[in-house]
Amino acid sequence: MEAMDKISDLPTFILHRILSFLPREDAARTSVLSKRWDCVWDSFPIFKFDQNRFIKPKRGSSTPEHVEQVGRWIELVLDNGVRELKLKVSIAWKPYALPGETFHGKSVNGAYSKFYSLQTLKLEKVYITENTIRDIIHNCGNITWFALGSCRGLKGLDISNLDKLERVDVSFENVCELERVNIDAPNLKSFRLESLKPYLPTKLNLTSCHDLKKLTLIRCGITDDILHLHLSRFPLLEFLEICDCHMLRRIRISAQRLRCLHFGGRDKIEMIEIDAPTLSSFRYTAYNISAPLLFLRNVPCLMGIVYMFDQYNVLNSSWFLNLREFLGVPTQRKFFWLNFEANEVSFDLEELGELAIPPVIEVENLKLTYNVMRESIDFASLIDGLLWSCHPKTIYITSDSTFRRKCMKVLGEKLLDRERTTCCDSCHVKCWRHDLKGAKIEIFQRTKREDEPRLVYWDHLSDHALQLLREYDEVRFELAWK
Amino acid sequence: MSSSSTTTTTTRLLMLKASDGVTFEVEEAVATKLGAINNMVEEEGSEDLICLPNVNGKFLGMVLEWCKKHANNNTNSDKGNDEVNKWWDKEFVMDLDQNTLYHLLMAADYLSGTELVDLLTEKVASMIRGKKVEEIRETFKIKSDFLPGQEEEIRKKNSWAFE
Repeated sequence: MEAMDKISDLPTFILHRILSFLPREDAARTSVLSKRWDCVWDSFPIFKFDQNRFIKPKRGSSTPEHVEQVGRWIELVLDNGVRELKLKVSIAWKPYALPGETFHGKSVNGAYSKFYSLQTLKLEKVYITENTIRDIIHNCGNITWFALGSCRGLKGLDISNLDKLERVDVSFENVCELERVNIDAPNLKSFRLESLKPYLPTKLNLTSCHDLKKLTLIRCGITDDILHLHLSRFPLLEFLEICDCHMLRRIRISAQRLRCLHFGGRDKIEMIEIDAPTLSSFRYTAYNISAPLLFLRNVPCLMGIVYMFDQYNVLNSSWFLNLREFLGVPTQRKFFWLNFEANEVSFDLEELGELAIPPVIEVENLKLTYNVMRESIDFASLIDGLLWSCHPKTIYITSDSTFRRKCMKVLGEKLLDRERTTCCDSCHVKCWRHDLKGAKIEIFQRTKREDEPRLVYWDHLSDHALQLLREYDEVRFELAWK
Repeated sequence: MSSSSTTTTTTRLLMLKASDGVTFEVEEAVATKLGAINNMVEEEGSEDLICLPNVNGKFLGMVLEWCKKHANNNTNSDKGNDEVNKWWDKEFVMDLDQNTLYHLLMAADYLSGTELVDLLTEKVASMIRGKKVEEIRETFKIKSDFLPGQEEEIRKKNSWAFE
C-alpha cells in the first residue's frame, strides 16, 4: 500500500503551491522526476528573480550593471500582465532608486498603456518618489493590496482614486521620513502603519475609508483627537492594535463591532476608556510595570495582560512587589502572561519588611513562556514570587520545553510541600502559603499523537500525582485561595 | 439541548455527512473555519445537515480535528495561541504518510480550508527541500517515465539547479 505514488496525482495548482515553498533550485530539480513533474515545473507561474542566485558571492554586493537589470526586469513583468509584484532590492551602499518611468506606462500609438492586471504591489527597500506613487494610482487601477516596506524618499503618501484598494501596509526599519499619510479609498478594509519613530508621521488621514475593519498603528505620531476622529468614522471596525504611540494620553474607544483590541508597548497612555459590547479578545502588553487607568463598560471578555521582559531584567523582591501593585488595580483584567528573556530571579520576603504591601487580586489564568532561558534561573524564587504577587486560579502548563517542565515540577513540589515547610512565621509579610486553601492537579496525557489529550489524573495534589508527570503531558493546576 | 432560551451564547451544531455516510456533529464556529462550509451556512441559512459527497469520513474527521484545535485555541484568543497552534500543527503533520497527505489535501482544498492547505503543502515541500532527485523519487515512490535521453535534456535545460 505504502509504495503507491499519490503525490503526483495532486492537481497541478496544489503542486504549484508546494513548489512555491521551495528554493528555486529545489523546485526546478523536480522537473526531472517524471513527465508529470516536468509539466508542473513548466507551468509554474511564480518567478523569483533573486540576485544571490546569479551573482557569485565572491564578488560581493551587486554592481551597478546588475542594478540596471532590475529596471528592465520590472518592465518585462509589467508588460506581461503580472498580477503580484514584490520587489525587494538589497544594495549595501544606497537604496535602489526605482526608475521614475517604471509605472509611467508606455506610449503606444499615442495612448498610454496601463497595468490592469496588477493586483498586489509590494515594494521593499527602494527609493521611491511621490511622482511614482501618482503613476501607480493613475496606471494600476486594479490594485487591491499595496505595501511599502522600508522605502526611502517619501515625505507624504497620498492615495486616492483606487476604488479596488482593500489593504495598505506601510512599515519602516531603518529610516522613517514619512510625515503624512492621506488615504481616500472607499473599499479599504485594512490599514497597517509601522513607523520607526513614535512621533512620525504626524499627519494621518483615513477618515473617508468608512469600511475599514482592521487598523494597526505601531509607533505613530497620532494624537488623542485624531485617533478619536478616526474611530468615529469606522463603524465596521473589528480589529484595533495600537502600540508605542507616544503622543497618546487619554483614549476613549466606543466601537460596536470591535472583536479584537490590543494596546501596548512603551507608550505613555494614562487612561483608556472602552465601550465594546462584542469584544472577544483584549490584550495589554507592557514592558514596564505601570499600566494606564482602565475604565471598561460593556466589555464582555477577559482582559489579558502580557508582560514582556526586556533582556536581562533582574526580578527581585521589589519587582514582585511592583507586580502585585500593578495587577492589583481593580479592573476586569483577568489573565496574566509573563514572557521571559534570560532573567535573574530572587525573592525574599524579609527584604519587604518595612514596606507597605498592597492587596493581592486573583487572576483567572497564569501563563509562563520564555524567549531565552538561562539554565541557572532560580525556579523556586520565581514560583514563590509569582504566587505571592497574584493569586492565579489556574496555571496551565504544556510541557514542550525545559523551562515549562521545570516550572511544572517546582510548582508541583512547592504546592505539595506547603504544609510540611516551616515558612515565614517570623516574617512580617506573609507568604502565599497562608492564603492558599487547596490545590488540585489535572494531568492530561495522550497515548497516540492524534489523540486528544486525555485526563488521566484529577485529584488533590499528592506525591503520586507528581510521579505521574511525564515529559509531554499537559498539566493544569487549580488553586483555591482564601 | 434545544432549550427555548434565546441567549446568543448557545452554539449552533451542524451535522456534516461524509461520502461514506459517517456523520460528524460539530459546532458552527468550528466548521465555519472551512470556507466552503461557511458559504453553505450563509447561503442555506437554516439547514443543519450538510452533505459532503467528495470527502471520506476518515479524512473529514482529521480535517475537523484540526479545525477544532484551531477554533479552541482562538477563543481564548491572544497571540500566545499562535505558539500553541504552531506546536500543534507540527504534531498534526508529523507522521502523515503520502496517501493520507493526498486525501487530506484534496479534502482541505475542496472544503476551502486555506490555512490547512498551506500547512499540508508546506509539509510536502519540506519532504522535497534540499533532497537529491533520487531521494525524492524514493520518498514518494515516483517512477521516471522519460524516454532515454529525455531526462538528460531537461537536466541540461535547468543546469543551474543541479550545480
